[in-house]
Amino acid sequence: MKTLRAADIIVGCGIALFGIFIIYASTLIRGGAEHRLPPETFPMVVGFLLLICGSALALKSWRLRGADLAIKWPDGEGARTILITLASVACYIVLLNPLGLPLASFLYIAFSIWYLKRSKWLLAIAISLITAAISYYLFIRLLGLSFPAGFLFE
Amino acid sequence: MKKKIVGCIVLAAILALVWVGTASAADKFPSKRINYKICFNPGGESDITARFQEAALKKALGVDVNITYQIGGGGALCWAELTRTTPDGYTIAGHNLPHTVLQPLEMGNAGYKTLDLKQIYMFESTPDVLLVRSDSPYKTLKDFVEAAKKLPPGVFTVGGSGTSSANDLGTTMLNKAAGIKLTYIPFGGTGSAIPALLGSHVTALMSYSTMAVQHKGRFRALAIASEKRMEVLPDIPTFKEQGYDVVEGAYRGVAAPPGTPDEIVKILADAFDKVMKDPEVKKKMDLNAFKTEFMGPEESLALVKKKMVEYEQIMKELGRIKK
Amino acid sequence: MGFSFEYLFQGFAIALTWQNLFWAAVGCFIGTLVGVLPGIGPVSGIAILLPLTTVLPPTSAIIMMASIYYGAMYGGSTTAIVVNIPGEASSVPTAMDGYQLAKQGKAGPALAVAAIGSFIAGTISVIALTLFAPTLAQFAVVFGPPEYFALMFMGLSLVISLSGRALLKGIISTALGLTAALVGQDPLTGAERLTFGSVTLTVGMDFIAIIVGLFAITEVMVNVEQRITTISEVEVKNWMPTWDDLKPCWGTFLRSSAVGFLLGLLPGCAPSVTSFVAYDLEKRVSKHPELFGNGAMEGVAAPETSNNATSTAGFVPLFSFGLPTAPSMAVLLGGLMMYGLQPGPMLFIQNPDFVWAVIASMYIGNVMLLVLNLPLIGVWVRIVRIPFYILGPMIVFCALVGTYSVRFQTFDIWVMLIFGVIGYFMRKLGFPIAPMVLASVLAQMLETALGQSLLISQGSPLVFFTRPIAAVFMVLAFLSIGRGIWAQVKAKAPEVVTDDAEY
Repeated sequence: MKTLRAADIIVGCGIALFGIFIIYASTLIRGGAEHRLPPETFPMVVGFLLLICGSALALKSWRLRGADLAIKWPDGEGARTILITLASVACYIVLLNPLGLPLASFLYIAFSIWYLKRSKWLLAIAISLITAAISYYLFIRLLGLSFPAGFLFE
Repeated sequence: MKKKIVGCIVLAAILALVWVGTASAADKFPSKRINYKICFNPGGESDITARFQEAALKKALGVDVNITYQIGGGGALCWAELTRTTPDGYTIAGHNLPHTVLQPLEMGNAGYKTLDLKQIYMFESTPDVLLVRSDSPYKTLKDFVEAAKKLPPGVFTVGGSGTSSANDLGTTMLNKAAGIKLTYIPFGGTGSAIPALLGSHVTALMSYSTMAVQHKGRFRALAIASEKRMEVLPDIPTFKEQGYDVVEGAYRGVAAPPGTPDEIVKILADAFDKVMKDPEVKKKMDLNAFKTEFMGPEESLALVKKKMVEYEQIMKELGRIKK
Repeated sequence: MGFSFEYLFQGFAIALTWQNLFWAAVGCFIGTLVGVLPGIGPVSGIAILLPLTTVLPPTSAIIMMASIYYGAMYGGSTTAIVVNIPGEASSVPTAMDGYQLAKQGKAGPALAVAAIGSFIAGTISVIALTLFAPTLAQFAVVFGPPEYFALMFMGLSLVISLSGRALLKGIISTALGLTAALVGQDPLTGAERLTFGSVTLTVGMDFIAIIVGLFAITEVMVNVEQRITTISEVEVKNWMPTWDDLKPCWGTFLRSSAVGFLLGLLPGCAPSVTSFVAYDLEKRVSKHPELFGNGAMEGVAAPETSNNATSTAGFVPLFSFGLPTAPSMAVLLGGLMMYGLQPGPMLFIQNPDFVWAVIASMYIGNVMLLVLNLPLIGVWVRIVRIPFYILGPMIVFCALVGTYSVRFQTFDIWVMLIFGVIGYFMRKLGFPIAPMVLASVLAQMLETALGQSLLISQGSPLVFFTRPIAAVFMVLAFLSIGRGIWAQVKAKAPEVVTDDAEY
């Protein structure tokens, strides 16, 4: 999708379909017989809202003639950076429980700083170590919050 | 030169982490803060009790107790989440009878089953109390019931804490006993029901004895749902003596996630036992019209099981669940 | 009832000893630190320091706790402005304009305005509390479920109308926010909704995860894509706001204090709602509404002022009826109770010295924050100049830690990441984010109030129009939506929030 108009049509249809899905999911809801506002009402209303507005958006954009705007999608390198960033955060989340907060944070921050700026690997390690230490001392020890400490510290 | 300095810092940090890592010994329960979840709005009975218990609990357990809130579904949200929490003894939740029995019975899927909650201790009970404003035209229960009969059914609204709770059930019982139809309005907790009566948004509240004490000047108690009048509230007649067989109230205690080891449960139960026998705590509870109970894990479980049978019967009779 | 200046002065006398001032300072510092991270809020901060309080004399302990509370409110605005991470829902409007100001190199003045606004709100609120509390207490209970519903509905419609010409997208945004909030258990009955049998989904999505995702993670993605070197290239001159900056804000300070205080009297009216209402009010009366969302100083002043006013106003139901209106209030109350004080309306009559020491200490916390934080602004502002290859990962770290600390569930940080991606696409495709945020915060209260209202009215929706206060809000709401639709019908261009603003 290069332009906003095209994007709006696609997104509008997508939202409308999502609305139908929500309406369907609402019919699966059980319970709350006595109440004036049964639990399925609100979700159904929201589903219809999505359906109507999604369709309206798609329709309006389809019929539009005139000024249009280009969407500023990222270029190749930008897209690659975003994807790797997202992937690294996802790995961070997955590794949080087995490795624990300090170790996972260390790995994530070290990798990210290195990835974003290739030359400064030593700085990356230093900062990530300090962060890992803070997360251990401050959050796990001093504040006693239930972050996973990982196999190193348990 | 700069790289050398950074290198030394890095080395030092690694050594520090390793040293700290190996230094931590195997810990005895409890060795860190315990999370005590309240399943209703702040300001309600569960909250007030927890606040009374807080200081003594810390002394008895030797660690801090952190009170947090998780509101919704009349407590269902919080109890459901408790069943999904790690059973290491560091998260406990205040729990209520009959709510934890009624909710799984009445709702298709409450998110938890009654016996999933591992009973630690049952420390108090409060009977239901029917409250109206002091400036209300209904001076006695009789006035109230007669007025309700004259109006179309459902016009009188009665607020209370939670769905499928003691307040909810008490209202249904009164409906049946008096032959009227009061509309029950669930609130997230007593803490949010009180303003509703203060602002006259509901006709009455089916609340607990504690509120009768706390709002003595503002509210008039028409009846109390206990077998006998409470010592600290001698002027409130019971439903029974006025001719309506309504005896209902909430038991409150603490529960742990299913699968919590018995030794840990025992440590917690002993702590709560000490707390409830603390003279300071007892004084506050009595002053606020709480009836203290002292039931350990086995007794509490027995009570829960007994109530499960009782309530299933009552609910069928009242028509709230199908036979 | 005991409200009088005499008692207030007595309270100040107790609060103004060197010892107590020291503890107030400690509290402010810790509170600010704690408030900086989303999720770890004043409740945790106070809970952590509770053991320390047992060795302190009661008054000092309470003063410290109150200072932590205030400090946390301020800390939330700091990260909102500097790195686009709202510390709590009430800082979301602050982030919307504050971060834009930071990008323009005006983080310092923005932080200063937030501090000044908070201080002014605190002052006005304490005076109002002292003089008018009994009347205010009566006002507090005038709101029943229909009024709450109408108020929140109006709040939501205001925010939708903030979408300007992109009304359809604004409504879709709102609907998506509502959908996210609906997943889980119904607040009235506990029935499972949109969970498809998944135990994980039954827990529902925490709104902090959604907010942090939409703001922090999205921002990191956008910055990484553009390979920016630092958030702001502009050389930071100084942190003092210029007269030009402050001029439009004087009116804001007064109006937002009023809005925040009045709405804050209502038990259950969260600072998040009042900050959006105050923000919207300012946009409507402003001479340059198009600046809002792009770096309007009033856009920072309004939410920060009103959320302070709301927190102070929360003391009215607390003292008049013994009702804590929010968990943080309850923690403060718990602290009082550890010293043998009875919760409830009796508190005032039996222990006026304690109560007034608390009020005085709230005020002192206010002053202290201003004094301590203004110089610190220079430090905070430097953060904006940290190279992004360091700052970016640190932001993600803080976002993750903060989000996880709410419920300690991995599901929440996945939600944060997913909403980060959603936010990215929303920015690219011109969907406004503010309605989604407010919708996810309000959904539960909105539905509960609706359910209760319909029960009271026996199913008749007219209840919202026959009660005067509710009717006023509903009319305002429909007017907002009507105006939005009218603007839509007149416009011809495709739907964008504004030409190139990111919102």
